[in-house]
Amino acid sequence: MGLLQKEVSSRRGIKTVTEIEIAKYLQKKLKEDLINYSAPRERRRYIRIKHGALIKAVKAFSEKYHPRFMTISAVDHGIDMELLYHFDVNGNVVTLQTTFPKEMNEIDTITDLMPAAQFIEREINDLFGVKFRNHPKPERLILPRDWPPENRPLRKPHEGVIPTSARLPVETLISTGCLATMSSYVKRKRQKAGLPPAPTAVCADEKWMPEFQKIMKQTNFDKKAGYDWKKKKLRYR
Amino acid sequence: MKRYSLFLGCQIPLRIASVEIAARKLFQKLDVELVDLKGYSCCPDPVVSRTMDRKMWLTLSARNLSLAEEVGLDLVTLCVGCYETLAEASVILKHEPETKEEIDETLSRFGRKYEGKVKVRHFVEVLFEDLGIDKIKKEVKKPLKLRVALHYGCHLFRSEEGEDMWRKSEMMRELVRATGAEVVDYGIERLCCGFPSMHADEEFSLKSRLLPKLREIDRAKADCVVVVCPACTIQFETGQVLLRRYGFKYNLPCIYLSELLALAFGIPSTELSLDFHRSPVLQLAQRLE
Amino acid sequence: MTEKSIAKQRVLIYYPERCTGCKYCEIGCSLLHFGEINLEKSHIHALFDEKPNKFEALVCQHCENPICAACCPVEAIVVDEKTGWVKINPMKCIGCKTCIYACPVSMPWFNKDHKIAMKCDFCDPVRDGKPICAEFCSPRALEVVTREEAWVFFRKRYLQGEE
Repeated sequence: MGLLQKEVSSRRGIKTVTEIEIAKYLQKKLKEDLINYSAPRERRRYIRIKHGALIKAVKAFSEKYHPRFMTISAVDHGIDMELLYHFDVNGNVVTLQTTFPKEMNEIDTITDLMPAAQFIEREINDLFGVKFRNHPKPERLILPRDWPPENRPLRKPHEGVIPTSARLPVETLISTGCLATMSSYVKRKRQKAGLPPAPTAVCADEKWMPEFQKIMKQTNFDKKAGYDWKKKKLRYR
Repeated sequence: MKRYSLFLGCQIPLRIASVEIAARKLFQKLDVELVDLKGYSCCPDPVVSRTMDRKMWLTLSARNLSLAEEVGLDLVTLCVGCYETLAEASVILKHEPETKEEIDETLSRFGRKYEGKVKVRHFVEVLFEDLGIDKIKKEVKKPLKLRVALHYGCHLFRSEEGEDMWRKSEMMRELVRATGAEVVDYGIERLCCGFPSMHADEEFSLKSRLLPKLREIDRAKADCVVVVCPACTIQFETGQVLLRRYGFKYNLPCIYLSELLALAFGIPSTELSLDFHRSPVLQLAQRLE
Repeated sequence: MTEKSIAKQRVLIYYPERCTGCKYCEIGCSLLHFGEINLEKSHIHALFDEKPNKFEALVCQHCENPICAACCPVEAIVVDEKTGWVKINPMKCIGCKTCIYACPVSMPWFNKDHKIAMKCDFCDPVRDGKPICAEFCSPRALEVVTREEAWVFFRKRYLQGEE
């Protein structure tokens, strides 16, 4: 800790904190809403939280450490949107990261806790099309008045990583465990030929599906491919 | 009696089940027991899955291999794509211990483990090496009076490090000759059927890969083409239909090696459900009877 | 960089008598680098010509004295000191296409989306220098060997005419 920093903090009367303390404190407050945290460099900390816990996290954080809110960065991942909230705690940069699906496209505003967020949230709405719930003044900030409202300049199309020709096979693979589906025509012909109507594969017997699905979730392939378990489809096709 | 665990894959049982029927009947005649693997999944495919997520590809392959280890029998596949995936995965897991540790950890959560004890063989190898060409010749009750053209397929050339790439294709040639059929050379046996490039550029795949093959096989006056890969079967059959759009009319039957051997063993075509095929294979078989 | 260390660098060689023309190398390359299956966006090209019935491939040799690096007007092409691999820096490239004309086999290609020239980067750092084309090739027509072995290979084949 340098001489200048000691002087500044003693004048302010605030105890200097280390990044580890902040992460541990937030972990205690948020429990499982905090996904993970990392510290790639000195005085730089990233904390990943679930999007529903944003207000709770910012409230807990600001009550204890009184950070200076700096700005929000937005990253468009194709099927998800990521927002990074940057705060300054005595020269240490702490960033709260949160990702939410593009289908949802909205998140709570933090303007009541951090008034300066008003402007950057309006800019993100202009450029990416993200809605901020309960924003005090949801007006256009930087786009020209005659800009078409559906056109969000930095918003990418709703596309995932799987190439177009492979989307249907990958979807079938994650849903059924095989690259092709069984038709009733094939079932009947197999029975007529004296074979069991379906092979002993995962796609034919419900007994093995849970194990297969758990493996898909374990290797994170379902998230990478952008698979929706409820609809049994890829989120983009 | 020789015993193997059978890995069927997705394409053969769900799209061209006649290949499976023929394989089961012919192995039965050769006094070989094939044990079905319960709960196997797609191998997964050696191109898209492998590039998109290598870890998932290795995990699913290791799971399929662990099913064979559970029954303690060497694995035999009917499809060359499954052979490529499972053989490559077992080699990679042998040479990369850190990756294997991660996969082991995932598999152990489901009570499975893979120790590298089973070998992955393609059915061409099993027929030629384990059973021997003499045993096959003895079972041939109806030598086929056919002129056949061979299409090896790209994945059949996959072999161990330092091995000759023609090893399995020579075995395929000998097996076809053992049925009594006459093997007709047409010059471009090595050329790919075009299935991989169908996703990238359909016209290129049909006109620059499939069309030369059909043209040369036709010129050599072969009655049919023999394949060992379900992808090649799909390419030959649906490809001929698609080529008619470009003005090329071909009607070449595309028969799988297991079906050819089953017919030579005297199994009647009525038992083989050859109407799964979209090329005139059933008519070809009926002509022989 | 001593002569001994250059001899140990890894490059790709191609055996035309093993190739089947399946294009898996091109598909793998475009899938890995661009996330789409597009034969025009591949750094390697495997060709088959019906008339002479011959296979040939355009594989970047990562030359020791690359003409592409010498001719680049903005010095966007650099040769890595240790590995010897020749790479185009996409940030510096201005899309003039001089490297495409200068290369004896026209290995670089013009990417119309980004309007820059691109070439084989030996799958480094995306796969730690283990080319995906060699891994996908079933008949092992593409192999990763040391430069020393590649010199012997080319000498035997093209200077002495042996297979």
